[in-house]
Amino acid sequence: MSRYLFVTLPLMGHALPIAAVARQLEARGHEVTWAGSERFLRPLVGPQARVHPIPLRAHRGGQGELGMAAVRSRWAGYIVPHARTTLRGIDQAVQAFRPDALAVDQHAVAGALIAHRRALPWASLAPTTMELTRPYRALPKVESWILGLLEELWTEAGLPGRPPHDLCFSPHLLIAFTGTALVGAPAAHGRQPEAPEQLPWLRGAAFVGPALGPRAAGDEFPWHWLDPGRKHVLITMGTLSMDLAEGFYRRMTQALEPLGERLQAIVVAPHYAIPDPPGHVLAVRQVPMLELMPRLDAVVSHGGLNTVCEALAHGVPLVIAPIKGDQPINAAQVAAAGAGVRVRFARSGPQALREALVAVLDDPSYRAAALCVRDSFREAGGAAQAARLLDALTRTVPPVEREVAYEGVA
Amino acid sequence: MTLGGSQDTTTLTGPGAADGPLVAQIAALLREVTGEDEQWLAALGPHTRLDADLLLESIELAELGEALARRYGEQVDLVAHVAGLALDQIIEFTLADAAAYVAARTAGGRR
Repeated sequence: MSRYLFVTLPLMGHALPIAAVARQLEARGHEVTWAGSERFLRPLVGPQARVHPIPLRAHRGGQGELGMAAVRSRWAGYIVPHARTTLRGIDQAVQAFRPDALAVDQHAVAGALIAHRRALPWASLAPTTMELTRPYRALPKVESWILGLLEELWTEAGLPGRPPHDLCFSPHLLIAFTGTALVGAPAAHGRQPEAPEQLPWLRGAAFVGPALGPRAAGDEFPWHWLDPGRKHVLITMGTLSMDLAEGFYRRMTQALEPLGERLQAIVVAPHYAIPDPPGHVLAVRQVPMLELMPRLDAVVSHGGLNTVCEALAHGVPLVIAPIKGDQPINAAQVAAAGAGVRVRFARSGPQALREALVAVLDDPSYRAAALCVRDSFREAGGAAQAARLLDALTRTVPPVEREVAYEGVA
Repeated sequence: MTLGGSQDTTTLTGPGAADGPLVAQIAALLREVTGEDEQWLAALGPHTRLDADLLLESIELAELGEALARRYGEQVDLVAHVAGLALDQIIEFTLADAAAYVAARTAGGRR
């Protein structure tokens, strides 16, 4: 039996797959403690889980920002302040719980700093594809700005010299919740597609596919509303994008308007976003995603990795309108895999959206490609495979083979 | 709204000639790359920011770069130019900045 300290961010898309891994570790007889906000984590990890509480502080994450401004606020307004305010709590959790290893969200940098400070083996977990292709390596000043922020955090944590590697990539183990069927696709700013084996920092990385686990029960879903004679489409733009997505919902509703004969659409949106929906459109605040997936013919999404992988894990093709972060990467990867169509979140009009949706519903090649990705996910092993890798991490001397060397900081 | 149907890219339909012919030409190329309409083009001006206002994606920036190189010569490499900028400069990069870059890279400064 080993002891693992889990560190993530108070973001649903990050914590869900990581919690599924923790559950699998416990099923293997290991002990897990979380360092983080009790209020955020408790509904996800269940009443039995151990949480070393770190008070949640509101950081200006700049959720309303887009484009490169979103990159700036993600790092300067969220990742860095979050690392600063949680560093002490994570260290206290290590001293109280004495873990054998840490499982650290790539963006919860304080976990990496503490693993270094306490010389513990640790794994980086990638619940987004944001860092995996290092999309800003074609923008050297952007990447060196990010590495400079990590270096500041390193020094503030009292660690000597400079960080020996990019702190988003543990030299011991990197687990990504996506599959090789998706990763070998368009990557960096204005660059050609690259296969993962061409990216040295991904050598030896474990692509385990989606880590699906039980969810907290939500609203009752009106299953009787679904008409078996029509196709079914889920439209969901993510929990963080509601305010940004109003225009998209409007255009999407117009796109759906003439399709009532052939499909029913479930839109995850606040009711005010879809005033007066037509009879074949149902607006709901939340859906039982995993129960609904097997009954769907297509998913329209912002391209968050969880939604993308949950759809593909059920062989459901996608229309993706990426907003920011890793979403454009995911959209490009799904399109390259042939399992979906990419549209423009800010600009695609009703007709373009309708054409994309009809293509994904009518052309069987999208479904076939989605089923291929599903099969590759099954082989990848998901949360159980991630747990096996973490298990091995505490029983072997971690090999430091992957090239995660620091580059680019002037 | 259509302003006389499909236009040659050299025709100044959007940003007026007062904004500088280069800005208008680049705006027209940008419209081709993005597949947007005349109304979208008409809203562009020298102060329009490629990233912050237009949310131009990296693929579109690369396509614009190729279009600029075809039109103004291989010495114009917009992607390389943007790659050399700092984060704040990328966020604030405008059509006028793109025009200034093209002007600096082409012999006579303007066409």
